[in-house]
Amino acid sequence: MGKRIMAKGKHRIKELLGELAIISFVVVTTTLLVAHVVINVLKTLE
Amino acid sequence: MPEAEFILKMSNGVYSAWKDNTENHFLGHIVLGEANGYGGPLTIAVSVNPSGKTIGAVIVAHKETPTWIKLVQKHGLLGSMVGKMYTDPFEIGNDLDGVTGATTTSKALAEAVFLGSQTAAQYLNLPVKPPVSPKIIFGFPESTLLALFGIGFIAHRRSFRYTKQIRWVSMLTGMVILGFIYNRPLTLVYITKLTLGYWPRWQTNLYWYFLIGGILLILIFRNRNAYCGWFCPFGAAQECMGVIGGCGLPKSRYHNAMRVLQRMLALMAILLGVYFHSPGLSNYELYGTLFGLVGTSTQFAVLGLVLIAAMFIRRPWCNYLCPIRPVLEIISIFRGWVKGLWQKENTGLRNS
Repeated sequence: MGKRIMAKGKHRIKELLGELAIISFVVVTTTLLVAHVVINVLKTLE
Repeated sequence: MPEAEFILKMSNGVYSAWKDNTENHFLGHIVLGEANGYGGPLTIAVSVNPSGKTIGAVIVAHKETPTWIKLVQKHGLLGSMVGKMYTDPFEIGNDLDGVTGATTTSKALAEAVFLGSQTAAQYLNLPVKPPVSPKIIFGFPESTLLALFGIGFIAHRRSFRYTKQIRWVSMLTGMVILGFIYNRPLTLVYITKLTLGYWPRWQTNLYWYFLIGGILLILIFRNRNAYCGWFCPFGAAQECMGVIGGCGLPKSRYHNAMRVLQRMLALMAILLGVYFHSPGLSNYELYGTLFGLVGTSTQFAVLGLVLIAAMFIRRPWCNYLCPIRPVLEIISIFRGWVKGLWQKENTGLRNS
């Protein structure tokens, strides 16, 4: 019983970490790309 | 022409330069030459001396991605055109060396300076050959592209049994030939450029017309995306990373929400490009960064993250960041809407 709960918990943690990895990837890369575009626009407006 | 102290405007963007305002010592003409670059029209001020020799060339206006311009300036391409006669061909790969990673910009610069020197020569009453229509360029990348469309068409037939294997052949061919060798993936710049009316000359840009035309035709008539999953070089590079890493992470529960972010990013790029009439300005794609090793430090950082992520997430760039996919999706939605209207109209006619 305990082993099953442990396995379930491990699986859930893995799932959550995966989710977190995907979300952080999207947030970080999107922010960097937006910054890249903004810098380009500002440089052109200068 | 730094020694010119008196510049007189003539007509059609032509200026004549004199040593002083007595107009006794004629130095030459300064002409504005224009050509179609990667992001749109590109204007160069070309100084030509009385014997028809180019003595200076400066970029006056451009709509290129700033990185490309920086690269071309760093390589001194314009400087290499100084000293050339108006009779010279001004051709990349012939009498001029192009800049790897910025081929289209290099070609446009050479063409603009050539046209400028020709106009100046006419004003100098020098014998100028009548302009010849450009040669149609149909080479290896164009034939590869057509072959890839053909492969996709055959592999999509229901009776075809080796779809999976053929898809890999198509992807790897796309990655190696269209990506690493020729660096010609489909970019948002070309789509924004077409919407702004900056249509490049078909004779020298057959590749782009085949690529965009082929994708649109297949999307409209068969509602299939012939490009992204089949021979997009960047998509293929990610799938190769996925093979290495195993691509074990399941699809996120927030997948759809993150796709909204992707659409917003694409919309922002298109709107900025259209607003500033400069498609290259809002370009954030990483294709040139991977295949031409040209880009800002931010782009290299994102490229690193994407390639690492591609080992664990299936096609992270395509699923969450690429601006091409939302554009194709919008076209597909529009197609469905028009088809619905057409069917409704037909049913109405039949019933009445």
